[in-house]
Amino acid sequence: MIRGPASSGAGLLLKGAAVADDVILDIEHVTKEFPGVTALKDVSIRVKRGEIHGLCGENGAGKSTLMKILCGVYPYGTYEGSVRYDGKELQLGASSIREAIEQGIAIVYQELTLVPKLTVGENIFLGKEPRRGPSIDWNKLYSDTAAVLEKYKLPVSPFDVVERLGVGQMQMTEIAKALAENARILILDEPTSALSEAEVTQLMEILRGLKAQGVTCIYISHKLEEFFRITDSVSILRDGRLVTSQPTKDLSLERVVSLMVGREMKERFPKGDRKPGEVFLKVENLHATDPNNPSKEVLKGVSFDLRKGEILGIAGLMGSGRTELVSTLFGEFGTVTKGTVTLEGKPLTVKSSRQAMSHGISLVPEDRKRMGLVLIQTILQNMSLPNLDRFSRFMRIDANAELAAVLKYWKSLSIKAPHVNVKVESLSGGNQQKVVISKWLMSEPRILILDDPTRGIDVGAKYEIYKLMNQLAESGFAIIMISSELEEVLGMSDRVMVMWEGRSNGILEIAAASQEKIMARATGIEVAAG
Amino acid sequence: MLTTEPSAGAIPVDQPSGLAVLMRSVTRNLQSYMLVIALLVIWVGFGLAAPGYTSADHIQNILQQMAIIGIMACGMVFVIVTGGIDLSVGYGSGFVSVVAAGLLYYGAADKWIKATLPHASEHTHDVVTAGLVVILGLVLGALIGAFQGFIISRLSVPPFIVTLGGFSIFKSGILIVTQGKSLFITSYETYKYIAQGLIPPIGGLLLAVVITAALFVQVFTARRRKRKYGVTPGSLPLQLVRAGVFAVLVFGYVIIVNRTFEKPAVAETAAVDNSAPALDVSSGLDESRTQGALKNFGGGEDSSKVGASTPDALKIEEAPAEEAATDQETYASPKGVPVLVVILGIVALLMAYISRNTRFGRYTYAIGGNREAARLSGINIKDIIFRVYVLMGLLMAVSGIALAGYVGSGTTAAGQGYELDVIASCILGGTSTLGGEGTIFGAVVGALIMQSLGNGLQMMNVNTNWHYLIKGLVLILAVYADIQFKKKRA
Repeated sequence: MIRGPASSGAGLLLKGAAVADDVILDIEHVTKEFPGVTALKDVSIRVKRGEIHGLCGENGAGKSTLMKILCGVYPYGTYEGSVRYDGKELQLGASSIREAIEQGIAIVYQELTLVPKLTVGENIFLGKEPRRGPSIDWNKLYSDTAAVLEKYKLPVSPFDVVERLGVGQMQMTEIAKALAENARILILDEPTSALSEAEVTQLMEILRGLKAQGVTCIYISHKLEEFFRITDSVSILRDGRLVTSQPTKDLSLERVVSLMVGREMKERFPKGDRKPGEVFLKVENLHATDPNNPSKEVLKGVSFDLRKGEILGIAGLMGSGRTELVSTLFGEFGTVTKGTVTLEGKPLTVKSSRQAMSHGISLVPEDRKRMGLVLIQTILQNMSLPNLDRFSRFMRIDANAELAAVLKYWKSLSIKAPHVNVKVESLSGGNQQKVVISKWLMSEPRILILDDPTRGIDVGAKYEIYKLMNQLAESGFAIIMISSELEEVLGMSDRVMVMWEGRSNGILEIAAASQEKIMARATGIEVAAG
Repeated sequence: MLTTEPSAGAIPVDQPSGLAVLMRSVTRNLQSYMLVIALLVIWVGFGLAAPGYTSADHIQNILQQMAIIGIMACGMVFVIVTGGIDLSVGYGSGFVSVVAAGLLYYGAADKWIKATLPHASEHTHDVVTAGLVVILGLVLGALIGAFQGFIISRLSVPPFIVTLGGFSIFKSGILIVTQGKSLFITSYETYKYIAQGLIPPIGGLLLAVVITAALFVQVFTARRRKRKYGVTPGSLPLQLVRAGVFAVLVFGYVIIVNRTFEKPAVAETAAVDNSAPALDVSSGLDESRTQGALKNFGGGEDSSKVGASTPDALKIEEAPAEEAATDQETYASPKGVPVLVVILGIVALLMAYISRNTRFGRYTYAIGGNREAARLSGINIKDIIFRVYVLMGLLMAVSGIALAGYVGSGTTAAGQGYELDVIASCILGGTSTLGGEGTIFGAVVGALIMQSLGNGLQMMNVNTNWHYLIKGLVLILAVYADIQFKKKRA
């Protein structure tokens, strides 16, 4: 036990002490204002000792503001209300991020913060390396690392170099780093957004293990199903206010969704009314190698056809070649060694993204911050970037024509920003994704490839993107959608192609598809004929 | 003014007027305003401390002196915006300057023209020679840029390394061409006019009128075009005030350098009477003036350079300088806007235009902001980066050509240390070394700040040995202040 009997006895004498003992974190009436915006309004949440507490809400609902208060980004005094940690007021000072960690509150961010070239052990003890005299005590460092990994049953080796780990293992290293600091509250900010299904399952196991050892977790996610798999209670924020905070067993998925968005949402996937037309793009037995390593074959036989007005879902585990396939079609990765691609019956070779665009192929890439956006530039500059040719006469860009076109998409996709000269780095994930999609819609493609288009964005924005996809398909676009979420693939596609080890392992009509069938093919348990 | 407004297409959501719009514009452009404020502080400070700092002579000189650095800073902004650097611009421009001087000194250009145009008059001959040397200089600069740009963009050698190599190569090139001596440009008045010449007062006034008219016309045409596209144009009074302030600055400068309100001296009347370019008459004035200024050029660094390279140069330099000091009363002030200032203005305007209103400019910023996103947007990154270095090479040549004319010779130390001033100007002007951010306006103001500081220290008789130390500290301090400022705003 962390708290001795004496202190809990003393606690009983205080007012409201009944809750004090099993509550590790008591957030009371917290209000946080920014110039012009109230990010949090009178929020009160109680997190019980040793529980896994889910926190959800749309982007901009105030989740990250709340977390920033807990981990000291916004120090004590910059917000109203009180945060009691272990019965005492949490008073973090100006250099408070360090203080929060010392007091046992650690956060694992969505974007991982590890140094790629260093080993797991070096990363875990970065900045607090054990010393012997003037030099680092490497033996102690690695044995301590091994002890932490062993204690919490994390499947990573202390000597692994981080850049060679999978995303899931990096996540675990990050968790180990927090635990090595004796974290008592672990905040996980969308830990599963980049994980494969198998890795998610593994992470859930680990979290249960942590819980058994008395570590409290605050679990933030956009994948609502996960709350029902792992959390004990859930708090829902909307527009800076707490909507509800109650045991998970009293909630249902539909209830959570409607509480989050503030309206009844009968369906997570809007129904489209579309009739796919003739075959538009045909890929036969496509083989390709990694351009940086020509001996490595990344595509080993992919065949599919894509019809006008259809959404073709591509499912598969991480590393199954999904992303490699679409970037090869877009001309930015992969050297085609065998097989053919035909567009409207004519053979198609694409050597660069510019060429792909000239054939009407657009790709909304997987990682919007790294590949989709120039974060320090404005909405306008980002949207028009691939389309400047259209606004240019001779040398000159017609700024007004450009602005008019950007405004059209800004309005029709209802991007939430005061104006189009706002830098995209200040937008929420969902709005950033809308900017990326607008950018590619503006190029007036005929084939739109979306690589994990709803990753890390909230339910409301997801729904809008789904509606947009339906509209586009209805108006004759051919759409390819890669997704890590099986439900999304099943909910949105007309047909699903499953990839496994660099090859297409069968195409399922949506009526005949199910999560089990897709998984069977994605893991190679079932192999398509031919 | 069309170069500083960051977002020509700003759409006001609501329509606040007057002060509110002004305040918002001020906060949005705080960095450029801070820079201008810093410049004013330096001017007022030195103006009070050093007599002569605010004199017409000095105002005329300072812009001319910063032009060589300023022109290259415009190109360097593009280079740094892509995430690169060019360390070779100092000796590169020096190399172009000695090649240009060499073409004149060794008489190569001369012989060629005599052979092709045997019956040309003396004057035509002079003009054609100058034209030929300028063109050859620009071609050389473009080739240098293409050479370095090719290695950087196609062969993927980091720009730091390639241009560090270039630094060394061009230093050697200078020594090979000069053979260790100064190559004097003796006659060739047209060529020297590029860097030393003054535009006759009436021409300067005319230029100011044209610029002002263009500014105001631009305000109204831009508004009309915006309406045509259904975009709400910004506040008209604000735009007019902006154009007005700029017009006042231009007119003020022209009136000061034309010395419109000074008592006319005898020599000047002669120059005016001769109306036309009047090269013969004004050149005499130019020389004495420039040589007086020569000591000031580059905040004293040139006096050491020229002096170190040849004892002859030192002698030539000393006499008129003394004369300028003692005969202040009788010395006839040369009137007019320096040609070099006009060249700087044209380069800066053109580069600002390219940075905002062309695809090439926008692609440059996008590459610096996120190379991967730019590549996936169909931008040919290698091609753009190659062109950035060619552009840098061209501007390096413009500076080199001007340098030879300004100093009146090609010296062994030509361009030495300029790369640091050029890079410092960009950084001072807010160009981010991480790439993706930076303005031409900022870089030009940055160059002006460096020059103002150097001249001020010199005029206060601060020992030259201390100048670099002070400039270095100012640079570090300015960037530190900028970082703190940005942190507060975030």
